[in-house]
Amino acid sequence: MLLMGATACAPGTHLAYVTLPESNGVAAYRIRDVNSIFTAIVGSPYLAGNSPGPIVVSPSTKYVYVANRVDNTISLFKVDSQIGSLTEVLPRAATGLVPAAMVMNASGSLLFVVNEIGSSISVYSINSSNGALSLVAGTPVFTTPNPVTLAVTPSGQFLYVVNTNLGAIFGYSIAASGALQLVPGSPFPSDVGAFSLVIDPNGKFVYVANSTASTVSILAIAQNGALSPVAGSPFATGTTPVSVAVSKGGQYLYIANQGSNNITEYSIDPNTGFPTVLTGSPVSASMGPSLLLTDPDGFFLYVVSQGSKTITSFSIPAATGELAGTAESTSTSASVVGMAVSH
Amino acid sequence: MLLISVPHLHAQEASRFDVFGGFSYLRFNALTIGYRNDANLYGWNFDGTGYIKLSFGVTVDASGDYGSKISAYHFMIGPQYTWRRDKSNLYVHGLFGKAQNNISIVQPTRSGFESVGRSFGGGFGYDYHWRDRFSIRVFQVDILHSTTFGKGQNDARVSTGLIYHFGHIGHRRRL
Repeated sequence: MLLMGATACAPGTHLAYVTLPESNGVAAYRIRDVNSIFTAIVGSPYLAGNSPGPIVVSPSTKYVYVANRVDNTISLFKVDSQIGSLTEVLPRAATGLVPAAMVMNASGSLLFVVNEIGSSISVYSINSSNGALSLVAGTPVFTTPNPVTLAVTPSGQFLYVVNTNLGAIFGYSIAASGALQLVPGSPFPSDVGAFSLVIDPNGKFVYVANSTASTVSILAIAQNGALSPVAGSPFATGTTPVSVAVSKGGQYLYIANQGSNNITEYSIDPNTGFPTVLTGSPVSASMGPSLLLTDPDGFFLYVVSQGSKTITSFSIPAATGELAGTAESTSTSASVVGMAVSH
Repeated sequence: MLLISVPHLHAQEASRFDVFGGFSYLRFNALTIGYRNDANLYGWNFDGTGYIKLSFGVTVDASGDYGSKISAYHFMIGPQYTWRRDKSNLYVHGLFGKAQNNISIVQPTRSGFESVGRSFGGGFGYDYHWRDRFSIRVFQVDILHSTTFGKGQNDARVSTGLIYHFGHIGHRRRL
């Protein structure tokens, strides 16, 4: 997950947390920006629930939330501010069947969980003093079958949920309490096999990777939250795009193509959202790239490859957006399903 | 004349055994276990040296240093070579043994993590003779390499304190 609302600072270190469902653990790493070396934090991996998957770091960086896909629970971990290690706070919060994705609003007051088999969205309010979750009244909200992922706008006004079966995006307006209401005109069509989405930091566009069609849809966000495709959308990508990330300023878009083992790079017109493939694109990735995310400062793109069980760092030059390999990757010894990066 | 010279000779005797106790500072290479920065630890250091020859002996060394959520212990032994002077000693030594590092990260089922591994290193120091049987260890500096938590790390240790001498093996060299 991209951590929203983080303040920019010079390269230093970041913390990365990755979920390892095979070992029911959450591995913690400190990444040194100067060389992108991942150092495992002492005691890592930390025990979570059964089959941990989606993971989110709170904007305060004090808490980490992990969805356990077999237990159907959410684990709350406190982050040691000095070390970066995790300590789970029990008991775990119950959620719907098979939580497939999570996202937090920029203020860190609400956590949204999409439950794939439960076909629902659970919303939790977060106690800022201890990180505890409380289910918001009126949720879970039930959806059409098999919602797979979701994203919230930087303003916190709208939530978008991808439904792979329909190849469409459901939009919800978010009340201050966390209650959800369907946006007029929802669902909005994307393309066949809509699988992953991200919202640009300016809150103007939604980018959707369509894994079956091998395209990316770019949808403009209207003031009422309705989505409409930009001219020319959807656009061709590599084979089987499964994850999408956008640079901190919103100028560049990156797509992980699991079928062609590479990353497609685009520059984005800030007004129209129209993508232009960058020189040198696509960039080769390790086998089976499955997840992309940027660091809070926008210096790096991290590529999780389930096939090779590695995480590779690419630097993002602000001037060109063309990914530069740092030649550093870390082996995770098991397939990573979720990853979050914080300061 | 003989009666006068006896105490003089006694003052120049070189001790067979030195026992040191004092304060220790350890610059702990915490980057290797995921800390943002290295850590400053403070604690104690004891060692004892037995001399086989006037300048050559064997040192047994133990130290414990403590910081925020970290405690580090070293238990080592090694050869020491000492240049003895009338009022001071300068020495170098090599050390090898074990290190134990404890990190206090509370988990639901445990209070922290500890690891024991091999340790080796070396250093030097300067002792100033203070009074009969006592010297002041002005400083001792050691660089210690330890392998704990599956990682190698290099720490720097500085010690100071008091030394007690007993036994004798020969005579100090006068300047």
